[in-house]
Amino acid sequence: MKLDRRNFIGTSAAIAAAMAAPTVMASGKPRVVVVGGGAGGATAARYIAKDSKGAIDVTLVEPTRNYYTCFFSNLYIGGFRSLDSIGHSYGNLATEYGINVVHDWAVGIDRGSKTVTLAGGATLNYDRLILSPGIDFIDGSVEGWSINAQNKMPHAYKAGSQTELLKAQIEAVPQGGVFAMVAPPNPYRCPPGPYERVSMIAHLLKYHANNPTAKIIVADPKPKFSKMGLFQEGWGSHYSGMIDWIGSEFGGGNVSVDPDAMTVTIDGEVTKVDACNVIPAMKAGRICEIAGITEGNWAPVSGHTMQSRVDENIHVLGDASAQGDMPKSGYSANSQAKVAAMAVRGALTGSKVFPAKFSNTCWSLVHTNDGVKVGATYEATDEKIAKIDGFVSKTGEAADLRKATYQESIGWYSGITADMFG
Amino acid sequence: MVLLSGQIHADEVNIDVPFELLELVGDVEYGEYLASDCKTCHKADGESGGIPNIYGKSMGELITALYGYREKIIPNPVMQMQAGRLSDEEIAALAAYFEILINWEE
Ligand SMILES: Cc1cc2nc3c(=O)[nH]c(=O)nc-3n(C[C@H](O)[C@H](O)[C@H](O)COP(=O)(O)OP(=O)(O)OC[C@H]3O[C@@H](n4cnc5c(N)ncnc54)[C@H](O)[C@@H]3O)c2cc1C
Ligand code: HEC
Repeated sequence: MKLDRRNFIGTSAAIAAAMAAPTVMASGKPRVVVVGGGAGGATAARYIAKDSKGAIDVTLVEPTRNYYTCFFSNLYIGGFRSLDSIGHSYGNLATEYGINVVHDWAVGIDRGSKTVTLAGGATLNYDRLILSPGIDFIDGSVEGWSINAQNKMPHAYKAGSQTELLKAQIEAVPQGGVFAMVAPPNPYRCPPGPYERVSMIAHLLKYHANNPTAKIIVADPKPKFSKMGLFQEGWGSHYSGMIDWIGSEFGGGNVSVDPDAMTVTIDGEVTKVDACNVIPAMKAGRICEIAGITEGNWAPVSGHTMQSRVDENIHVLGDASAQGDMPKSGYSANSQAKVAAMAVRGALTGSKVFPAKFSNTCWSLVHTNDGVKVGATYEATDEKIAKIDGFVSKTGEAADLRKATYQESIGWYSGITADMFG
Repeated sequence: MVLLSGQIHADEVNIDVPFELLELVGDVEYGEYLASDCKTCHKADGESGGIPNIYGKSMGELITALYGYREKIIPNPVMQMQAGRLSDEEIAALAAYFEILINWEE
């Protein structure tokens, strides 16, 4: 998806409009502002614009011009995708759907006057506000690591340059060297993400970096993880002897790092490492705190509409929300966005509102053509989003079934990104 | 469609759909909402990777496939789960919506 001239004009016209008028849009139409153009925000903006057929003004605030999906970023590390293939521009959302795409940060929210302030100084009025800012990291959650150390020990948990950096550092690990990952505590974005990443890093080392004697150490504060049996089966059969997973029972949660000395200390034992991926504990994107709608680390919402429990004019989607049983995934954020879009249109234009339905599937790649998946359907109860039914791949499945599962994930990637960006 | 995995696909199974289901008249608006769930995987412009195209299929084909997945006659777990929560009315609503798409592109 390239930014051609037509798209460029669309986007820059929107920016020019935003610059010219301190309060964008005075058309009398109901106004929706969406903060965050990721899995939740881009989908919500697109569905509201598309289905309201011009009856609602939609502004999407997103600082980056190119959104790199975290989903499939592990496949880039493993050598299965190019970085370009996971980058997406907002051109279509501006030109095809008439969304005002503003490339800026939201830095303030006044819930009383229903306004959003941008870093560039502009103020946007809203009738409904949708926040889908993803995650931020909790300071001090991994001793010795702070965001200032992210170039020495990348998190790569927001995709793009961080992912590129991590891959380059792993490629530079010397023969028989050591890579360490510090895995995050629950709840965090993409439960199988760190373990798919371990698989893809083993694949990179073994097949692309010609370094099959390198070692991978995973320090984990949890006793078990998503699809654990499936990953451990694959690690044993494809990357035998390379991966040492240290769970909480074995001190994996007692960890500190020294990014200058490039050491990792696990349960008192100091190890010199050649590359290190620190995935800290997570919380809702900071703008939720600024809006004053968080409880603890996340923003609680009603599953019926994804409305904040604190302010009914705000909907929170995706990773930032505390909603109940759904995992923090791109698929979940996309699914929640459609429910929120329907609710917002219903509230602002009186269109019909149906009972909320959600679903999720997370595919992970363990090795070439060795895909596994876990999925579930959900419904809204007054208390939370509750799981109805689910499935998970089984250990010992035939190779052709695993290949078909991987093929599904490729189809899903093009489906969901088309659903987000048009 | 191509056999990816030696698995059985919708068009390779004999499925007897109950007459009452085929008779139902679906609510198109409800179908449109339900179909938003399908679009996470099934792209409007056709098949991609392991996800088949479902746009342009007849009402009968769609109802048969969804019923087949719901009743677990066709084996794919993703589709069994998607169809598993659909009532007869919801299957009819989806079929009605997709039928309309054949005539009016979005
Ligand atoms: C390695 C990895 C692998 C993954 N694999 C999968 C997978 O296979 N399948 C899957 O479904 N999910 C996967 N995920 C999870 C998925 O990426 C996230 O759950 C999803 O992106 C969440 O969507 P979101 O809308 O909440 O946040 P995001 O998609 O992160 O979007 C948030 C956006 O908000 C913007 N933003 C933040 N603050 C502001 C502000 N103040 N003002 C304006 N904009 C702001 C950011 O720039 C960002 O673009 C993976 C994640 C990782 C890290
Ligand atoms: C999570 C991804 C996903 C979602 C969501 C999904 N599908 Fe599917 N669908 C698939 C896959 C994968 C197949 C191929 C299954 C197989 O091999 O039998 C499929 C097959 C089908 C088929 C059979 C097509 C054929 O040619 O065999 C139909 C019809 C269908 N889906 C309809 C739907 C409808 C309607 C919805 C929404 C209610 C939906 N699907 C949601 C992944 C999905």
